[in-house]
Amino acid sequence: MRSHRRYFEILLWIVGLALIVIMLFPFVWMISVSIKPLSEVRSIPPRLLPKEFTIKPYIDAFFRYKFGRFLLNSTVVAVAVTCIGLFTSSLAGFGFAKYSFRGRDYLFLMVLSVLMIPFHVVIIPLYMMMKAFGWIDTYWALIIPGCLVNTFGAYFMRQFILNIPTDLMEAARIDGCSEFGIYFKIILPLCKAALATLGVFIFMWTWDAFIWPLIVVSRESMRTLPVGLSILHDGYAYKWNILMAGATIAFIPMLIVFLIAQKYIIRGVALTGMKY
Amino acid sequence: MNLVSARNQISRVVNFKRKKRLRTYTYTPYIFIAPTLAFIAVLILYPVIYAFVISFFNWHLLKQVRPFVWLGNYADIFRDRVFWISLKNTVYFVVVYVAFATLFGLALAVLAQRMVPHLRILVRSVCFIPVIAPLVATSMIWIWLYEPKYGILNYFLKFISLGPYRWLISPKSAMNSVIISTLWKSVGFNMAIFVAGLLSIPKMYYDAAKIDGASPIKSFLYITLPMLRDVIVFVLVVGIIGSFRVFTQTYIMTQGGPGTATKTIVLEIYFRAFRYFRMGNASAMAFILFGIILLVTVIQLKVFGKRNI
Repeated sequence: MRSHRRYFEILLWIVGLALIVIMLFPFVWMISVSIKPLSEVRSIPPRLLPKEFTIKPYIDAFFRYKFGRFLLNSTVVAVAVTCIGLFTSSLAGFGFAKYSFRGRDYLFLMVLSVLMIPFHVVIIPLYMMMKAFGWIDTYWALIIPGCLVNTFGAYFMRQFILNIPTDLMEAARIDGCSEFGIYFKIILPLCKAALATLGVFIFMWTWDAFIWPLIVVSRESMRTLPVGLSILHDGYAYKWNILMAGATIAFIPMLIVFLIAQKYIIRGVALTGMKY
Repeated sequence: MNLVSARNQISRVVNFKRKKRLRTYTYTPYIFIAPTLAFIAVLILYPVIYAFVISFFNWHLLKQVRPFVWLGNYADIFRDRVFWISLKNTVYFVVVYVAFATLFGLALAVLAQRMVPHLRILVRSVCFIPVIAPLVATSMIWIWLYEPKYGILNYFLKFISLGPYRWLISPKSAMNSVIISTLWKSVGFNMAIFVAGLLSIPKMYYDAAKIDGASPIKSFLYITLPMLRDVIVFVLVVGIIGSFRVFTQTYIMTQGGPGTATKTIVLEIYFRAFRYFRMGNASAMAFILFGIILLVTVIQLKVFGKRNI
């Protein structure tokens, strides 16, 4: 029995270490390729550490292939969508959770059923609308439809705000606090954890968004990182060191967000199974 | 005296203030939910109706004449060989990917829970890193890993005298290669959900089973699995609905090729709409996909019951 347990423990260590290697190796390889000169990328046998270390792929990607600009675009879009999304979601979540008004349950049911509609159904008319507004190749087209996350956000925030005691609101009202004041001074401070979770998720979803930016952006200066990476691959499919440098540039911000907000992310997944 | 009645009394005393209060009470919540409802109306409800209308027209983006064809687009699609191929590919992706993602997710979660604390925390975090990485970036990495001649995967496989495989290049293995890379990317997501599910099972059940002399395998079969039933159903439903929409991987890695081997429905919708500008046809196809997803969801709810979804 005792030796059985011992073998099992060793097996667990092997599984754990193997998993870590499998999960991390592709990233290690990405970085390894991105610091090689093009002549070494296709060396046989492949080497992990380059004979000739270079950061030229990063410089090329950043300036010549405009990944600096793409990084800026992705950041602007993700920050804007996150701010708008958090504000409107928490507002709607508050309205649905803490007030009773005519049609509330029907409207909330509508919010829930809208979540079932796949984005691909509306993508064609949305594209035509953006064209009609003259928003193609602008930040508007990237940001405003992205704010649709607030349908999920409203649902998520409502579930959280339901647990905040209503007595607090009543007390504030007696003290002459307006309804907006209650939202800003009582609800928002109590929702910090939920807002952090939702915010991190909206940020990462927007950063990862691909099909929509691919459709509404054709000018090079408006591309986001995923679109820029994809189009670079279409044009220069042989320059793997630059492609991998671009992939690293797209990946690093997400890694930083993950390392800072890991607690919120894992908890968010566990609580709601938010589809990433 | 509780707060509510206190408020009523105060309002009764300050009568004009009460009227004002009541008025704000009635329409403030509408102001709160207005932005979200506006987004829904403009960015979903109106476009859905618009798309539905378009799907009955022969609507070409660049042509001025857009004749009404009634169900013509739908009929065309059902006669279209490429549609059936892409449907078959999508269903294959969904079934194989979801089965393995659920199985691996559960197995890894159970194994991780039994590891020593440091290793457990490390494994859980590391498995989540591919989940947060941008899908375009990871797809790009895997193209290069899969490269038949210079790729590192074939290089490793040579040591255990396997391969060389043609991965994404061969029609036979292309879809499986896409599935493997997607599994690597998102198995950590399922694992995180299962870990949360495992943590919510009271420990005393296992202690009781141990006292009764149950083996670890038995306690897994008779405690863990039944207690995780809802979580498993949830993972399956989310996985199936999500993977019917597979697009980015096939777009980046293969563009649907070689031949039609990895054409998936959303990829086909994208090509029809934004390469060939056949908006009517593509809209009809989007609605067919929507119908399929709805049908699958309804069946799942019927089969598994609707607890916790």
